[in-house]
Amino acid sequence: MDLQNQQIDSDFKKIRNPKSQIPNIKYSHMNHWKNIPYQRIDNFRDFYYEDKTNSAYYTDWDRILRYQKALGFNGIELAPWDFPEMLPLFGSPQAFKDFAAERGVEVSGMFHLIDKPYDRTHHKQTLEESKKAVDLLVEFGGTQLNSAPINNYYGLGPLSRDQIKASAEIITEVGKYATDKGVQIGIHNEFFLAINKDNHREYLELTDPRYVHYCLDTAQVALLGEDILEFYDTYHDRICTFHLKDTATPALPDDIRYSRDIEIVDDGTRWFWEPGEGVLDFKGLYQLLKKHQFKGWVTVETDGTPDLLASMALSRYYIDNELGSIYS
Amino acid sequence: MRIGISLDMVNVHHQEPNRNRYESKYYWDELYPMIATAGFRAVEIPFDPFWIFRGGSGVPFTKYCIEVKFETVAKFVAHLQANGIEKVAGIHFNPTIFMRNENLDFYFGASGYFGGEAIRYAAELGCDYIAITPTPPYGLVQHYHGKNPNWEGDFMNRTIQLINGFATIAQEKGIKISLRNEYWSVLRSQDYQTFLSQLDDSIHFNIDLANLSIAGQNSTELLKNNASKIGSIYLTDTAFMDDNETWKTPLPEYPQHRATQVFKDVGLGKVDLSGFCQTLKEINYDGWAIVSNRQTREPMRALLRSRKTILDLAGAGILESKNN
Repeated sequence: MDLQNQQIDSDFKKIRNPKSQIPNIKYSHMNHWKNIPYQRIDNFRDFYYEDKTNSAYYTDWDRILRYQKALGFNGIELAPWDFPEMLPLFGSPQAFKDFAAERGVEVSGMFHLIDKPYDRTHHKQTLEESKKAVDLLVEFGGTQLNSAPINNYYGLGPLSRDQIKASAEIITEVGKYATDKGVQIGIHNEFFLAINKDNHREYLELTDPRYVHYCLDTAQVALLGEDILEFYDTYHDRICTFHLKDTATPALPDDIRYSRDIEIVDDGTRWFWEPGEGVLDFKGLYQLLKKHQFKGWVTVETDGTPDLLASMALSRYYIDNELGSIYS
Repeated sequence: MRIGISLDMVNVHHQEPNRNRYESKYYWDELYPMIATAGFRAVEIPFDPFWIFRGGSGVPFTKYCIEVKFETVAKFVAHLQANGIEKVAGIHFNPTIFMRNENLDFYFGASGYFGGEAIRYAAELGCDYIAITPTPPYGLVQHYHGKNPNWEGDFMNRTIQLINGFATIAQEKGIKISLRNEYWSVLRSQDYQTFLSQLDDSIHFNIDLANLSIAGQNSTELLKNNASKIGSIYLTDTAFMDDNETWKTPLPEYPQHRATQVFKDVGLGKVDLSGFCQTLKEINYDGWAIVSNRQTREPMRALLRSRKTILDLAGAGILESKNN
């Protein structure tokens, strides 16, 4: 079949089955499984019988990726803290990319920290580390480098104007390199970072929109004290991707956001919940996605859950039954 | 002999349902009295700098974490004692976390710095020893440094310097170094006697039953022949036979050709615990024997399984302990 006939055939299929149309949103899942020590367990039944616990179900990449595929998450966002075990396990990023592709999953992106951006004497090292992250992501075949823009507020904040400016300068330099490599840098703000409620819009506007984009983590930005609908409506042209997650405690007070090691709370309080299990207006957000015709990766992230598989399934149900009819 | 249990039974780094609890302080606060209730009055703590960098200071595996949550190490020790844990017997330092890139200077620099921190933390906790893993897994070092045909010689020379540096700090702090010998160690490819001859005389050695069993060594014979140099003991268990050179792979605790729990909960493997403990009794071993269930799939179950094993050994008159 020649190319023209292939196109005609494809178009006919879309007419017969509208669901085969390419969706605007591609769904990914953020990898919070921690270290997965096996590539594939072929002796699964024997392994299970060794101690008869469900740990056996969360111990190889083959099954983790199959869970993702079964639940419609065709992308995976990788976490750099997993690489010291993951890369030796697979041998190379390409090997992982191929392994995931065989199961219908592609690497959408990875997380990164722009370390010490406020300090110009550290910029050379910050840039080199960030270039390595970009190069690694390219090897994995991903396009979204979602980057925490700075270190924690505790011990660093409040930032001076010049420190905010310095931070914007270096992420713009990283963005130039990334853009050349086909990667989008997405500012991924977090509620406990030194770029925070009082300065994150200023910081975003100091970055060059040609090179620096924004990954809107709905829960993090809501915890920060932003109205996520107003924020998206205002900055929709900067927002290239999402971390989709809910919270039950938006607009945390300063004394909590600025405190030490606050991401993981002593009494087990959770900041993050599956979409639909908190209080954020995701239906309103999806109306705005439709208004602005968002196209790209949306990554469901359920850090803090005791059961990643249950959270993944719960999120998929909510997306399909509550959000998908608004925009998909 | 004094018996303790290692907090390595809480597997913080690998996925399992409810794993997230391990990162919060409340989990550990609940755990301490359960350890005592299960009859263990002493613990060993793995030193794990991962929790310095990830905001997980609820995990009590570094001095930094303790100071964030308890202000001082002394207050942490008092907290343990109030919950029935009378002593932190020792610390385990494993430098494998730093074998993560092709820069050996990074590995040795970070290992030297944090190893020193671990020794100082151990001293402040009132520990009697620090168990040190001498090298990362052979296959992991080879993964990052295999391009250098002479990597083994270079790596071992610097490892000897590293360990002797630890010996200096440990002597200053009055802590005994007990060198662990995992079955996957780079030492497996070396002349062990030559290695030993270059180490500081103050360094003692650890006997880890499961690791030695997998490596094909006879722990009882080693104990008999080197009693004066034994710094600490791990009561560990395994049924694993390394018939596929898993020790040379980057993740040797997870044999890729056939998945298995290499380290079983104590009492569930095939190690001759009875014979070994009988020898401990015969030589009047007076040091620490630490129960380690580092790959257990359920810490609470491991805790009680371990207690049952100890009770079985004690009931048979094989095991006598001063603190249990």
